[in-house]
Amino acid sequence: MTTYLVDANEVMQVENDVTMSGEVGKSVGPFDVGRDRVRHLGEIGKDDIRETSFTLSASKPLSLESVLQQHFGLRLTSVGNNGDGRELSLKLTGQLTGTPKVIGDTTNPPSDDTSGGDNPTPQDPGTGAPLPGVSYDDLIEAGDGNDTIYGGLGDDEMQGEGGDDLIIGGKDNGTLTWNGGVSVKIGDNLYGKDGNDYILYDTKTGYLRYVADGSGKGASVIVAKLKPGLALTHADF
Amino acid sequence: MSSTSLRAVDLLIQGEPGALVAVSETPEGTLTFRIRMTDVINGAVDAPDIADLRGLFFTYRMRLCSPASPSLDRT
Repeated sequence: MTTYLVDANEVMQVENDVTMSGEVGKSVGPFDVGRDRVRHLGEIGKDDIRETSFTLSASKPLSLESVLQQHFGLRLTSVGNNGDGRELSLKLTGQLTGTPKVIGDTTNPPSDDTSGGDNPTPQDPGTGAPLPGVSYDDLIEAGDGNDTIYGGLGDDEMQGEGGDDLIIGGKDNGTLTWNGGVSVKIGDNLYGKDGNDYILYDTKTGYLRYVADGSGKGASVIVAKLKPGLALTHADF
Repeated sequence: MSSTSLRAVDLLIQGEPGALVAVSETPEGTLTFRIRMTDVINGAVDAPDIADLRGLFFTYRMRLCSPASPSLDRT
């Protein structure tokens, strides 16, 4: 159902109506590869393709260097501008000038499981010596499962999400310190999100409560009375 | 053990509608292309701009002579 054409520096048209001819296409073409998505299957406006993907392979491994700084052209038909009609057509062109970002590793694929598997061995990043000009404020999302996550240096936002999580703020402003039940120091914003919340702050009354069963709704003990309406960040303590 | 980082890069082509072209490397040594039409809605009076994506053209740095098994998967 698809057609492609490969011809070094020669391709401007695939099938009769899929063409980049014209001033827009000529400004960046001719191209090396052209692809027609499908033969037309139905009525105009009734069988649109607005998102598609394909894989390009060759006789040797390919990398982004093959397409960086290269030109792309898209042929759009049945264009409806601002909701009016479907009679227009459009050619889009652009040059791939962006900076590549790392998305994974062939030997260590990325995972949102920070527990390290069935037998988690949490790694405390420690404090070390902060490097000048480096931000250590992190957003850490634990994902599903039972996790132990460390904030390390900086003032971090840590979200436990699914599972029963142990959240350790860190060794600077990330500590949660009780001083005789009358004051508390919080460096991080903590979000249980799944109901396994042990510490609750009532913004209306100012009471800081400890919930023994972690449900967030069970019996609780008031451990501190703070000012109502606080946004509990390190800057407030 | 040696390892190789996989990378991706995006190209946003402005237009009404525009398009987002995302190219990523795969562990198998292929390149995955994802093309999605985009449109910026400016206020309540701006209706979506829509179109039918019919073709993609691109140049290639290392003159590609014979892609082994290109395929186009409709999504």
